[in-house]
Amino acid sequence: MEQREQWFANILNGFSERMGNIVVFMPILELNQKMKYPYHLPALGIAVMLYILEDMLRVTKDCTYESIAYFLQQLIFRQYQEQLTAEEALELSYFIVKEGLMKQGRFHVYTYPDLETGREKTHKFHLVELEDYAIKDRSVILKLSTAGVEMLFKTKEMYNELQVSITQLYLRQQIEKGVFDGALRSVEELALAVNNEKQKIHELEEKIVRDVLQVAREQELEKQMERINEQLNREKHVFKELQELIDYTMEQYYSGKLSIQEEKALDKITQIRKRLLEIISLHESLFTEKIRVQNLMNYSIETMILTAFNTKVNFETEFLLPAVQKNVSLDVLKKILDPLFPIKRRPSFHPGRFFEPQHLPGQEEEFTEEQFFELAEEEIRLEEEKERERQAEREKRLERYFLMLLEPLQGKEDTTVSAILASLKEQAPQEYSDLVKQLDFYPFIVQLHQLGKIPLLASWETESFVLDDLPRTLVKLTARHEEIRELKSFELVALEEIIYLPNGYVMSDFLVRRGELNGAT
Amino acid sequence: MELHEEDVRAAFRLFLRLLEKGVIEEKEREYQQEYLRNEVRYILEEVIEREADVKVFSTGGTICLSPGVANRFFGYTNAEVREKMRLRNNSELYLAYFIMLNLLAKFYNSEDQSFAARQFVPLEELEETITRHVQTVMEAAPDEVQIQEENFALNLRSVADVWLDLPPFDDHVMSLNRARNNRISFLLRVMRFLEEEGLVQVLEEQEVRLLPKMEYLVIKYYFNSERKDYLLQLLAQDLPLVVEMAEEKSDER
Repeated sequence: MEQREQWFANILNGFSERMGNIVVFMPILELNQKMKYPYHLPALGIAVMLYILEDMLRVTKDCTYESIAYFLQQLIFRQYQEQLTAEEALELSYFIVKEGLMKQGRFHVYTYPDLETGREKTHKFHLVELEDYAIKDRSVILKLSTAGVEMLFKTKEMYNELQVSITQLYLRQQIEKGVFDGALRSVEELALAVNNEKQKIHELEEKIVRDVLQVAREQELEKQMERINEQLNREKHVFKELQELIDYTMEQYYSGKLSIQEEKALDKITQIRKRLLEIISLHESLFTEKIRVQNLMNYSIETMILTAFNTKVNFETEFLLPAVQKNVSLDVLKKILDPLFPIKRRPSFHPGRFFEPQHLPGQEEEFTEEQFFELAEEEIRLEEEKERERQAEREKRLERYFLMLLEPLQGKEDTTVSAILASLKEQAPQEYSDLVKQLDFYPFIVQLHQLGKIPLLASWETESFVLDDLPRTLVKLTARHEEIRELKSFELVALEEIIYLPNGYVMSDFLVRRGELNGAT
Repeated sequence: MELHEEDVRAAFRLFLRLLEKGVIEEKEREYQQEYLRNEVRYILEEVIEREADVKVFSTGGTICLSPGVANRFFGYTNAEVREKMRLRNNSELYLAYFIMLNLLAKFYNSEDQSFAARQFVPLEELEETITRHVQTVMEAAPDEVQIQEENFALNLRSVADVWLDLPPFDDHVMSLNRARNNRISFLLRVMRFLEEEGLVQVLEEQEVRLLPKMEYLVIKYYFNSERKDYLLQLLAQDLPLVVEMAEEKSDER
């Protein structure tokens, strides 16, 4: 007899877990029984779930009914050559998601006999969930539940406990083979997998808050902790290796001259590395979460023992139905719901207030929207004024530099920057020392040098509108000075000599010479 | 437990802050730290909550305060609630309360599970449920109702007409939120109030979901045997509309 029991136990070991893994597919299969549409609804259901998964892999999470509708619209056209209107597509997405995948917000519930223990077992789950509560507007953002993600992974990828490991493995292979686009995607999948882990811990946390007894009865915490301990440590180890691999790969690239393609690859690796580091820190946070859950469990059990009860309320049968049957009065109804209402403050007046500093209306009042905009405009105006002043100052300086270079050319064919500086030092020592302190003189010279031969045209002669402040200043200057216009053009040629400026600044000397009109120099 | 002055001060500071602001945000580190201490929490739960008839609880990092049943100091009177929801009379107020009770019944309708049974409820489904219950009351024997109405000025039976006279939905209304002439608009008005309190969220004017604050409130406040018994007694005191049913119910207990 006992032998027979053992035989059964061996065969049926983990029966409910297997059943649990199978029933998650039921909602998809049940879509087949719905006759509302001529399409294959189970296939569309899976497609929608894949679409949501794809959205979860991207950083911007904005999976709305509208976006699903658009996806379905394209898909239907592609598969059935039918063009749905936006409205029809939205209708279809409501049907598949709300009716089929979300069951109007209810759990999918499946009950079956657990043949291993002989008891009835109920499996409850959501496939698709509403995104977290931080949504500002009231539009629905959807995501897959942990069960939903796992279900999809079961169809192709791997079982959940190995999800992180498997993705890590992919990533490793992709990096080794140099398939960086693929690796980038794997890294995102890895982020999702780690997030999923985090979500699971949160779910356990919520479960503890809601029903610590149940968690204790099923020894869920112990099981999860055991799994987490082993898994996290293993994953941590692999993460370390992955990071080393990436660093090594990057080094390989750095230690040689790079072709354009290699540079692109390097960009991608840098991206992968950055993302991986983020994921690793997220993964590290799982360890603290773990400790928090353990503390929470202890605390919850303590409170439970303190209150000694684990009461629940079935609002429908215990409160609502009696309220209807007994036709309760307004006050009773109010008393039942009182806890939902906010605390009312009862401010009271103290005569001592007379002696407190007066708070004049308007003094510290918040600004109205209009005032706020006026303020912002004023700020912008001041900022613009300052900017204009700075600009004018710079133009003035540039003009001075130009004159320094061009004035000597009026009497001779060429001169050098060093000669110009030397004469400046002699004739206007203050100006010389200012110039040396200004850090824009050297860039000014280099810029001119890069421009090649520079025509000296007054503004009306130039055809295009000059934006850059260097040519603009030059055009303005030329327009004002007849003698400069007569120079026609000039250019700067780099010399071998070096100029040493008193502030320690070192620059090449340049030859400044007049250009011929026809360009022959 | 021996109380230390420092802990009592901390608990009292927390309580005052909650009275002032209604909630303590996650970023208010100092208060949050104090709330984490077991000694402080003990004083909050065993002394302040009991004496002030309030409930202090934390949801998603935010610490909240909620008044107990018929709290004389911190609770709202009917007139005040009416004003807050911009309702015209006590009949509408009764309906508003009744809607809230139905909403909770939609989410908490199992004996064995303490978390909400579903993610959201479509407004239409909520409307249908309420209408069904209101109709039950209307179908009760008229002489029993007679006795009822002599005893109570306002009850479900007397407001049933107000609800049933409204059409379920009005296609011509431009703004469902502001209208008053249909049931869905009335539901939305009540939901907006709950939204302002951070208890629920109405999505695309179609469905309602509970926010963590509401879920914690239910668990921390209602899921307590003492308080539950008190509320059940309250419910039992009112004159039964259908006598047989009431007897069955009292047998069960």
